[in-house]
Amino acid sequence: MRLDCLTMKITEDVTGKGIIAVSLIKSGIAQVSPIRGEASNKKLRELKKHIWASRYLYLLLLPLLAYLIFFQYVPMYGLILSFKEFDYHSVTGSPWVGLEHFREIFGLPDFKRVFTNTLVIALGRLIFEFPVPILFALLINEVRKKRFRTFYQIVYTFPHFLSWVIISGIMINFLGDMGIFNMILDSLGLPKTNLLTDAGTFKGLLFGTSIWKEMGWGTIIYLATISGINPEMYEAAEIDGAGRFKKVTAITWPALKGTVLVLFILALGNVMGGAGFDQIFNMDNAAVRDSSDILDTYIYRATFLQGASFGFTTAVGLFKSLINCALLLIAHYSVKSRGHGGLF
Amino acid sequence: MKKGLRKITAVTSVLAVSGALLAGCGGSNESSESSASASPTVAEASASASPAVSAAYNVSVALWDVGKNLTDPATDKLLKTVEDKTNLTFEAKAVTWNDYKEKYNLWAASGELPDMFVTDFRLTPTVDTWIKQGLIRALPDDLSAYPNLQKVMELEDIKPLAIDGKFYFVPRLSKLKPDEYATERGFIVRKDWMETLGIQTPTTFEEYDAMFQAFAKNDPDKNGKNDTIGLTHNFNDVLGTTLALGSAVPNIKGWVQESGQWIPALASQGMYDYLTKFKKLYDDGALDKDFAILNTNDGSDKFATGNVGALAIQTGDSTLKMVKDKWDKANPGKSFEDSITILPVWPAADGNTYRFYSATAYSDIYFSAKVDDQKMDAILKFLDFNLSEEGKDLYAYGFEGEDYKKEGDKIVPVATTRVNYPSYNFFFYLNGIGHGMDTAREAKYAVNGQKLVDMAYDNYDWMLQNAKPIPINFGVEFISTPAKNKFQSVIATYMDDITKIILDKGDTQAAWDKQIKAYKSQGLDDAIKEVNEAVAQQGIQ
Amino acid sequence: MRKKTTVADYAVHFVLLLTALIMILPFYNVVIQSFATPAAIAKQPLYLIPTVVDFSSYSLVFKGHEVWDSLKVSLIVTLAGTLTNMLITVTGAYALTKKNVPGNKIFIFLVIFQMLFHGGIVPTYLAIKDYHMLDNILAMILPIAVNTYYLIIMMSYFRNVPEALEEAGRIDGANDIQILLRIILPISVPTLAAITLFYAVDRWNEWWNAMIYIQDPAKFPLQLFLRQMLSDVSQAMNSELAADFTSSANVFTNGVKMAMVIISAVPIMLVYPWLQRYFTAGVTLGAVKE
Repeated sequence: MRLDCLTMKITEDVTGKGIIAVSLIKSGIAQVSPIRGEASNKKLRELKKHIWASRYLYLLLLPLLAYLIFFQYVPMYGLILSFKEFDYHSVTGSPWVGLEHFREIFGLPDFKRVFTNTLVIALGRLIFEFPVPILFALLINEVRKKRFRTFYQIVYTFPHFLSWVIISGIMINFLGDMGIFNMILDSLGLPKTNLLTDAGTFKGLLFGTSIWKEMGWGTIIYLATISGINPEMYEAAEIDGAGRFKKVTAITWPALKGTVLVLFILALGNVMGGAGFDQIFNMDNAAVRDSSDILDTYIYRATFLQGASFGFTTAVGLFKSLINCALLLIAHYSVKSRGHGGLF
Repeated sequence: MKKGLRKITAVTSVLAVSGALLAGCGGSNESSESSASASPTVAEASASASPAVSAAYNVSVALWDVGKNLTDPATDKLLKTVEDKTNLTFEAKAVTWNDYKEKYNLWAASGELPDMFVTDFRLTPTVDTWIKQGLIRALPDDLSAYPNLQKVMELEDIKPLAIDGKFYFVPRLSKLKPDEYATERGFIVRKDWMETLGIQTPTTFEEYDAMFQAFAKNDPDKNGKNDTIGLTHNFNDVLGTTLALGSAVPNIKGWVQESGQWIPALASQGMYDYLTKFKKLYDDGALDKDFAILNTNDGSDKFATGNVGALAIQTGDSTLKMVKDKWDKANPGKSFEDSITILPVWPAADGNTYRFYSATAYSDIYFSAKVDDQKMDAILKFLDFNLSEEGKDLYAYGFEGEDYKKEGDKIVPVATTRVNYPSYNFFFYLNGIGHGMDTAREAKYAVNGQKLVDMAYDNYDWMLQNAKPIPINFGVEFISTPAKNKFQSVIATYMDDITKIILDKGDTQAAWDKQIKAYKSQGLDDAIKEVNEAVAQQGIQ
Repeated sequence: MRKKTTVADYAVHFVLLLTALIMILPFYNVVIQSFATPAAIAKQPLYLIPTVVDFSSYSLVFKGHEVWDSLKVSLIVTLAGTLTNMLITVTGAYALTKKNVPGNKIFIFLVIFQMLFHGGIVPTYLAIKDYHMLDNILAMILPIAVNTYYLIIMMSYFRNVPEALEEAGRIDGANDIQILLRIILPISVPTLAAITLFYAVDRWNEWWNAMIYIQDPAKFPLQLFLRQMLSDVSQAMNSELAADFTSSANVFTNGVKMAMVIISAVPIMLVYPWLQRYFTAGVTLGAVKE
């Protein structure tokens, strides 16, 4: 019974949206058009012709739209929970509490610290981690023998398949008090050090291990883009006397630029979530928490014990989404205004 | 530009409208789902004359590992026996450590809470919300039909948890009585290393410190390498509370009286003594330098590979067996039992040797509000059976004739090992813990081996005779007020705050003073105020 | 015309080789630990050269039928899931890049908005419940049918395809679907291969949706099964609970945990080498001369 009600609403909804959209476009066009009446009728006919001409494209779009509606937009009303006190019996019946949850968030004792950490770590990743796959994709591309290229490509993806749980164990074996690193220091007569509990170097450790883990996987999309470059372009450049470096800057990089920009904007649009909960959760400890605690790990620990309501967690999600949205739009429009593609 | 803005506004409002429409469709159905739940304030039909349970009930249960442990009664004799006896069948609804909180909340929101489920939501806002919104139900006021259960609900560490005179849970017992926690803290120590290094059994803090240092620095395994550790731990909270036993704050996570008022032990003067001792162990090299980065169970792994002199861990026979299993795999041929001994914590500044003491339960069994009174009666009868003599015998000893014989008062095992039915764990994680430490040793020989069981039991007996329980006032501990509950979550991460100070090179006392200031900003004073008011109001001694 | 190997070549190889070593070593360590006995590992602080080859860790994991059930489920979910993913993503991405389609801006808005904003776990769960997908394998496929990041990458790629190619198709009388299938896709092979790989790995690693929506253990995917088998109590905040748990349950050795890592990683790691041939330059040759 619920499903019927739903499909009914959706059909009404989609048709309704379509009608409204069309009438919007109509009125929009009518506003701009200086000559009303006959000219706007002509525009409407043009529009209908346009729609009919694009009918196959609408068909191609249908599966995506269906997915978006059923699995993203149907539950989207849940966002209002950010402003409500969750009642388990009914989301919509839950009482309004306005900005109470947001006040709670900003009122968390360590909010400023963890929010700053989140931004610093996420942006740090953009600066330190983001360029590495690009560099290595270019390097790998410089290898002449295909066999070696394949070898490197495959081997570099190995760390991607290890989970942070395992990697943190490896880190302890490597950097712990009885670990290899300290054994070497000890045998050289140097004092032991524990990098894992050093708040100052911990962020560096995060970036370093993350580069190690994801760099290889990150090269895949760039390598795919590079393999779409017409080899004849390289031959032409060779004939023009271009050296190796020139070939990279004149041919390879321009071909990669589009992909790089798209991924960069996407990364900026995920700053609040991209700080890396999984990694930090598995690698952090009491000594470094001040430096490594991000919003997500902090809330996980704090509310793990308090039992936060869904209203609160939804509000946190909304807060993160808004920041991501702002950063994404800023990035997208700045890139677009400089003449490059942008995200869409 | 204006055209675009109009378009975007219009589309957004269309979305909002459709969202609301869909929500309307959604909202009405959600409430109809859960409206069938009985409001817990409805007067319970008293269970005076327990209604005859003629039909079998199917009870859905959610607790950790239930999927693994609840298999087929046809192959699991224990399960079949209990099901037949209580006229119930059990249905597993799986949850794990990683997801149980999420899943319970989702089930609560979709009206699918299992009939019985186990979680550690005590004194949290979640439970209050669930009660207020009628998602879980209370026990009947009259528990006389369930005498064993009734006795448990009247224990001094259970009774204070009633809300408005009603119990909304049955405790998931870890122990049958707080005394049994004596085996929950202690040191497993390499006796063979003590002998190699000529160390006598330590009796003071200084002697323990010296012993741990010797383990770390004097190459007790005589392999020429500097690869041994003095003291490590299996769980950082265990380390924190073990060290507390030998300090001026034996009940470090609880509430103590100072200058006439109740305050968290973490805010008391005794903390300086605790921190000084802790820091000394670390600075002296007695304590594992990696203690802050170990994960749960790493310590016992290290102990099992033979690099560790002392392990702060539980000292019951089951834990000993767990460590022995690891040890046997890593050190085949070397006898675990002959290499170790159990040592208590050193005496505190006041001269007393303390033993660990705590509430009998940390998590509880809750019941969905959809369970009607008759089904509840059947469930409670089952839980009562688990605590009856017959039930305790079944879980502790097995099947009479097959696993054991009764010779007068003695329990005599029939075989050298006992069949381990998977459902044993299922019942254990509810409230089927058998006889606890009153279980006859002989029965446990078949499960964990004689030497280990004797070591554990002898240690337990010694503790009960020679060590004092840490002073805990359960009435105060279980006071439930908003500020206290909020501050409780600050207390729960105490090891983070302490660890930072131990690893830091600065002045410990000054650092802790700073931490107390931080606690104040996190609601310390409000919590203290509310607790003392409640104490006065409830007349707690 | 054989090119001379220059200093640059050696430098490149040096850097790449060193990096490769750093990449392989830990993985190698995991592999040999999975084939080792606890005794062997205990003897060496850094276990690099295997002294034994022991299969007991693997036989423990493969004991019983559950692991095979979950492997089967993971296979189905990965195949059906990746297929669904690619179908919806590729068609949607292509259509979205056609800016002159009426409503294009709205559709793009719909895509971007839901990438950033989500309704939350409860409404999503209720929706899945309403669609009768609870405890159904579809719950591991449909709710995550599209990864918006991959969609956008695909869109960015399609936008860079020269218009001339599509023009040529239109002149020949093909409709949009035929253009997509016969002209665009064949030259998009590398990017298609990359996105397919990403989706396949995501589907193979699936456990979150399964944990939330799947009750029946027979329908658990491999990752969820292994997670549950490990029953890792390191997340427990309460030592008493953890003690109750670990002392009465199986506590797995490091070797078994490593075996689980290998079992869950190796099958999917074989996909990339298999797709390697689509990543070669010139595979899209013969389209249009620049």
